[in-house]
Amino acid sequence: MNGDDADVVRRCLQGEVDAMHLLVERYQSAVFGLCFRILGHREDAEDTVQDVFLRTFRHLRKWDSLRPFKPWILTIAANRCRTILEKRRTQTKNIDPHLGAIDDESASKTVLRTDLGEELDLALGLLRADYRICFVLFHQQELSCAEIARVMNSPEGTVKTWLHRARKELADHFTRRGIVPEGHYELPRI
Amino acid sequence: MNCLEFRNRLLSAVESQQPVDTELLAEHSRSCSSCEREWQRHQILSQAIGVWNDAVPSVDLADVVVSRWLVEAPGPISFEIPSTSPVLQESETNPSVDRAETSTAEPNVLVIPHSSTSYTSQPNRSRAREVLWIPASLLTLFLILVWNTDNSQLPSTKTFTTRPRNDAKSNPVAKTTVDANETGGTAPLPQLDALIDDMEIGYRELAQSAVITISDAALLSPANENRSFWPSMIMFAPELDGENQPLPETRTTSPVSQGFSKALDLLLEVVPAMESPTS
Repeated sequence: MNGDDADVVRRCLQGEVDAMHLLVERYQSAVFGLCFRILGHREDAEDTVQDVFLRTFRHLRKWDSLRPFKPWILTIAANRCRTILEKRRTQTKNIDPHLGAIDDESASKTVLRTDLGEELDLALGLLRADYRICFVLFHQQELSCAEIARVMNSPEGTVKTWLHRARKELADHFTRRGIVPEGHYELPRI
Repeated sequence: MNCLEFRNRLLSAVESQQPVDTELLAEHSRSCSSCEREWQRHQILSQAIGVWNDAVPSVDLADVVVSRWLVEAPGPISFEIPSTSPVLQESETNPSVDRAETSTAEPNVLVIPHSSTSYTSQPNRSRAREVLWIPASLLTLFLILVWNTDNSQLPSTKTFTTRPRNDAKSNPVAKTTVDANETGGTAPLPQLDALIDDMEIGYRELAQSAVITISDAALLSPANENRSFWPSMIMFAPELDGENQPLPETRTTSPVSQGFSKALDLLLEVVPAMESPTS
């Protein structure tokens, strides 16, 4: 795939519009998935995907063809998302500090399986940007900790810490919301 | 299995993205309340991730992105093509490619204009670029020569090393420029800053050496013949001597020219005194 990517990139650099099409088609799912999960908003994610690919084309010469293309483009996407989250954070801080707060008391004790994804999305929205990006890269893009470390320009140990903290905070969220695993039965206490 | 082993197994299974040994871990969790809670949390999170991963909508943005690129790209985007590139070979062999355009163009440059997917050639632009290379190269060569000359004037006993400042690696979210970080580029500013610092320190030491030399010379004049020590004895004290001294953390705000003006003042003081015996 890497050699194939190199060929497509070379054709893009030569100005072939078909190759640009091919490159976008090949990576738009991954980039959109990342942006959608991090930003939590479809329209924002679509705009960001377009930005990411425009930046990619602009800096295509900087890509090292000896390295895989996917982590490189995901790096651009993750950084773009981080910038947007930062902007959002400062804006919402000025508007309403309680925006996004969840009313735990109103939560239902039984959450349907289909709602679990929404609950996770909701909880992800409350995580710190680094934790969120790290979690999405690991669980959705299925990158290893070493690859995430390269994407996020951070030590691998830090990435592992972020990942476990993200998982812990998400699990805490489910606990607070009283969500129990499917098919789980309370064990009889002796 | 004890609790520590339970946690380690769960942790390593998560980190390595390998399936968890459910039977073994569930068995231990039944005998320990804290591990049972941990196991429940892991299970619910795994279930949620499974559902969450399946629910990503699909998109098709290829046309939008490419058309935006062709419209919004800043100015005509030129792509230099090696003479052996397959595209050029294709244009040479494929009659469907417009030969009228490529025959008058520079053989190795194609230009994509605004809002168009067709290639057109602009020989004048490429020729102008070739002409600009010559003065640019000469200017670069001149700057390198000037830089080397300046370096050779620095005191030879000192070693100057550049050091990076504002280390972005220590802070994962630190950004020198947004664009450079987002594209994985490296920002040259911290290195440049360190280099300027080192140059400044070099010039300061040069000025200091000039002061010492002139001060010592001043002692040769008849007006100072009763002096028992030389300025260099004080100024080259052991704590100031030595190579590769750690660079100061704080920059002094006095301009470098002050050092030279001090040297010049001393020189002006010395010159009349030197003239007096001959007169």
